[in-house]
Amino acid sequence: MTSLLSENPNSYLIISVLIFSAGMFTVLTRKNILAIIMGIELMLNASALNFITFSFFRKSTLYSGHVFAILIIVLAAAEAVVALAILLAIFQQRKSVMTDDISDMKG
Amino acid sequence: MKDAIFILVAVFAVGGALLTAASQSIINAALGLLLSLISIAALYIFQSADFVAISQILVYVGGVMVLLLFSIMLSSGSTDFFKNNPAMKVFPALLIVVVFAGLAIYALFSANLTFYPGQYGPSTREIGNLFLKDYILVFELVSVLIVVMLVGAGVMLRKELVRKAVASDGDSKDEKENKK
Amino acid sequence: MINLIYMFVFSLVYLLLLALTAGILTYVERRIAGRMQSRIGPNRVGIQGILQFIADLIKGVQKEDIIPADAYAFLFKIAPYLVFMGVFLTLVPIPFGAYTLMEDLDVGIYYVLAMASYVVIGLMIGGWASNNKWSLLGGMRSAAQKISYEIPAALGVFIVVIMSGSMNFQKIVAAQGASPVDWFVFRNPFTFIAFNLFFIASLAEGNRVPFDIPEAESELVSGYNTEYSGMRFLFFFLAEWGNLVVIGALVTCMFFGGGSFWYEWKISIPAPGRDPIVFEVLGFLWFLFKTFFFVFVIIWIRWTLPRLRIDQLMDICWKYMVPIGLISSLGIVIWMYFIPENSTIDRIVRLTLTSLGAITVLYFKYRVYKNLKITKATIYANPFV
Repeated sequence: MTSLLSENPNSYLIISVLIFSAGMFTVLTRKNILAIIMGIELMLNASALNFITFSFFRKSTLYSGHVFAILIIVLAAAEAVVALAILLAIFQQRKSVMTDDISDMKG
Repeated sequence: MKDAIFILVAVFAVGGALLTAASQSIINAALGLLLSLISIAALYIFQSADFVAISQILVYVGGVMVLLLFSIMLSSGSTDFFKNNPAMKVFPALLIVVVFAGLAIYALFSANLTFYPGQYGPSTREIGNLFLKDYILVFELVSVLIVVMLVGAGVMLRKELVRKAVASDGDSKDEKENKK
Repeated sequence: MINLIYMFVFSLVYLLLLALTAGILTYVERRIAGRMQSRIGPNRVGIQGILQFIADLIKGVQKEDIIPADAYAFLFKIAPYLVFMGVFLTLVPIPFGAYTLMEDLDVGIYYVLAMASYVVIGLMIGGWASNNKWSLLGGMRSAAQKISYEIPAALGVFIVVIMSGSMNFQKIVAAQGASPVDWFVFRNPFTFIAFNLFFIASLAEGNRVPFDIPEAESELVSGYNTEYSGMRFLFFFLAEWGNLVVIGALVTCMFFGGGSFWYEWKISIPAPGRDPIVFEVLGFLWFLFKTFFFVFVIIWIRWTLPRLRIDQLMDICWKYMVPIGLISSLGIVIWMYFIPENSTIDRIVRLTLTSLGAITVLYFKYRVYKNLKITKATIYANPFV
């Protein structure tokens, strides 16, 4: 293992943990749907970064990690589109994007 | 030199994420997310994943971020936008997050994974081969999912549907008030 | 370290050249517009007004840099630079000669598409941060238009990538040849469709007439750049004209054989028995000629066609260009499976398409000549009359 930070897998993994934690904090504390979507995007990105790091530092010639990262990117985009469509539909009805205004289904 | 750039990028990635988590204005949060996403693309390039990095910029920066900005602009003024979740105060959330991060980092250093120095190389052709050979089922499922997503988003924002929902919602509110 | 300094200097040179070209193009465009509208255009500063853009630059720098009181100052300030940076970054993988390029990216075309979509963020931020209804509307229209037209552009690129088997620009150029028969435009019907898709979509992505709804002066004051003044305003315009060069260079690379100049485009190996420098320079000039020809075509379109309405714009994209693109990207696969390269049918198709193209151009020239004869207008060979 070299002394360079950029060639040490642990530095990437720690960055990934920090980004994931920031995303988790956002999801836990906010009550705005947009902010929650942002937090989810951060968490997904952190996990994709993990996939790439393990792919690169475990076996560089095997590109399965890249495939998974691309799948995460595509699924995150799909998720964001549907979530934002739901958000805009809710906003047109209720003029609000806060989660506790959408609690009609709660028993 | 490589390390200096790496540290800069890493600071941007984590700093952007923290800005998203801590900012009180939604547009600042969105910009923090943007910064973080671009920096993560740079981190992919550090690990020889050029195709994934460009996909990240194309899909996230060009697609998801634009959609997010659209929604922010369409869904009202942004001043009192960031109210905290009443069910989860900042301190308990911080506790959970710190415990999680500590556990993850502890797991990372106690797992004794063997890493090898990575090799740089072109990845596009290999990814294409993997998608069309080993992961063909996933590939097809993703395309089905995207069709579902397109139809779903289209249906959800159809004007008549929204109007009908608004109308029925108004009715039900009136009825509730009448009953009272 | 030396490498980094070298990179820095090289990109600075590129940046200055792009800015200079964009500046000169503003002058060229106004002169061409003048000729097309039977007037003269700028001809006061320097010989035939060639220094007009420097005068404009000085004026722009001198003006007060106004930031509206209610604007979001930080975002308002950085938005023009974001837009210009996006346009400049698209130049990175484009090969102006076999060796004259910044970085030979393995994912060249894909990178260009990504950077084109990155520009959208700058426009939206600029429109939003101005805190002005018209700016916001202009920014949103612009974003919607660019995102929509990225899809036909990507489908056009997709067909080229399938044909050449690579996303690297050098390999795409190498897959074509010097003569028009080998160019991708005239290779088969589907690549011809791809060229049209890509060119039209690029016009729309560059906010050029007939797709300049985001800047429609009669509806929105000036679109996303309404509140900008001085140097920041000029940066938006530099980006717009720089984008013309980028579109021209991309079309040249992908469909018109790049800088292949009477010889096969060699990747990193100079052809034996030839002076590489001479051929490099000739290829570079040939590339620039083709690029500026397309820049001229774009300017020509701007001053001849009227503007579309926003619903027509979206209809053209989603109801016509995307289905056509999807069908032809299926078609190209079938074509390549059944008709191998250099088979008899392939050669016949190529020759037919090339001659059809040549006939179209010749017929157009004939029509122009005939019209001039009928109207008895004087023909000036000198463009500076």
